[in-house]
Amino acid sequence: MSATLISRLTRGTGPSNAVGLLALLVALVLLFTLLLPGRFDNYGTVQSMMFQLPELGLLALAMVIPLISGGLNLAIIATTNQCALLMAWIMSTWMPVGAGGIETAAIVALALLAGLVLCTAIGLLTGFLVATMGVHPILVTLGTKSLIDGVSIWLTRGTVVSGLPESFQWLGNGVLLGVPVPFLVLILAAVAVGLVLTRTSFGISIYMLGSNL
Amino acid sequence: MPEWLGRLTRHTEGLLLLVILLLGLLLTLLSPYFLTLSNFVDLIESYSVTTVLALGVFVVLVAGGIDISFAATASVAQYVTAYVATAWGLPALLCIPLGLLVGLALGCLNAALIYYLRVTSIIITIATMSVYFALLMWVTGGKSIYALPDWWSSRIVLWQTETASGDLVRITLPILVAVVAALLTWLLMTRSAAGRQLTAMGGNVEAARRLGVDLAAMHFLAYGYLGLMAGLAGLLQAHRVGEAVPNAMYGNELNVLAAAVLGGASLSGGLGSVGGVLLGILLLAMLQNGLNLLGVSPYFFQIVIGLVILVSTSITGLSTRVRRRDRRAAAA
Repeated sequence: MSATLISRLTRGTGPSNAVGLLALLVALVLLFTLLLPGRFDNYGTVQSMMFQLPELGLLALAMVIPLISGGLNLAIIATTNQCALLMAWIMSTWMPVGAGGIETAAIVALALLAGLVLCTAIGLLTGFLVATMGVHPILVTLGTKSLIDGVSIWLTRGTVVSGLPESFQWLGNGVLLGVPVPFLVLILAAVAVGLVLTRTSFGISIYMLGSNL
Repeated sequence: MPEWLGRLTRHTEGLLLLVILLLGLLLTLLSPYFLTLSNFVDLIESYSVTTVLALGVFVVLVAGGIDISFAATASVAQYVTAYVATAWGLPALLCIPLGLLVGLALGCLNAALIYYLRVTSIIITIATMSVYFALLMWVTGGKSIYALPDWWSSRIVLWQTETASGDLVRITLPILVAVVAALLTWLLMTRSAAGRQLTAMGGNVEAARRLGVDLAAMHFLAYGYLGLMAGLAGLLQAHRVGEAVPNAMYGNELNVLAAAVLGGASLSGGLGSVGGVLLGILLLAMLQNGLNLLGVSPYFFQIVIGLVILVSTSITGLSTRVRRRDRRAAAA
């Protein structure tokens, strides 16, 4: 059983190093458990990691697709920032004082939609420049990173947009059945990206694009 | 389009020169301070560190690689030198070579990792950037060294004159260093066999290998040269600001890369010229200076830089594509 598991892990698409990473992970967990007896191997530590991990995890999921296609996107953080700013701005300025449950939900939904539309638009523009103009992805995203960051800083003057509805903050801070909500979001996103990459012709085309353009 | 204009715009350098001249004309009309000798010299001086770094990056780009650990390398070289100069009181004649050597060694480490592990250069240098910088911050605790010795921090004016308008024009050491670095890079890339081999490797690794180019040596040359330039830039930066701050140069990687790329260095290797890099830096410098003089919000500057990169690389990309199509049509 273990042999098939290992062979399945190593087989994966592309130069998979899942076994090495897993071994490293196990070694690290053992090391910290031995070095920090009682402080590392408890659910609080695991839970706090589940709170910290998702942001990096989601960004890595975003990065993996251009990487597989043979490119790279330096503008992911800038895009995330700008979309977060837009969502926060919509939620904090459009929300009427003393809004009811439905109204709040509508505005949160609108903000999420606007953020996704903005991110998608930025992604499509990047894709257009890479595919149609024939510019190296690193250069395109170097330009878009600078442009997006510039627009964000210029519009906000470098200040903070705050005042988000409490019901929305649950997405980042909430706990569902002992599991932090952001971690659940990460799991959902990872499964979705995994399915798209391995079970759709679009995903397989991305691998083919990356191995031989 | 008249013929000379067509010939000028066929090369990235010519196009860049045209844009710079147009921009210069525009800024001269808009601001009386722009076209003064002192403004121009100040501009070159303040971009001297970027120039030295961009020249090193250019060599790596031509060789078909990329390195973004150079700012971390420069910081490490700068700090090590500042430490031995202040804590041990070593003289300039020992400190300067030491700083350059530290840069060279870190660059060669990059080369070794990239060549012997066969990992893409961007991945390796992201890793080493992180390692070099984190080690520096960990060892130093983020403490700056303010009391640099006089030989290092005092301003060295090689030549100065007063213009008719009363402005002081000073040719300082950083300008000389940038010029020497540019000359050295130009000699390496166009007047030496090694430079031709670097270009060949960037153009087509397999073809270069079959021609008998020593790929390992070329990797060490390219990344080592960038390391050397980074060490030099680190020393120069401390000279300009009079202190060694561990994270002063960190985070500036992309601007330097942008300058090299604007000048026509291609990320796929084998292309670019020292003149192009210098023009790229001049364009960035003029844009920043001009926007400042015009009183445009500094927040806006980054937007302009982004647009300039996107437009210039798109033009280069499109024209390569069109030329390739023309050639194919001619062959058919």
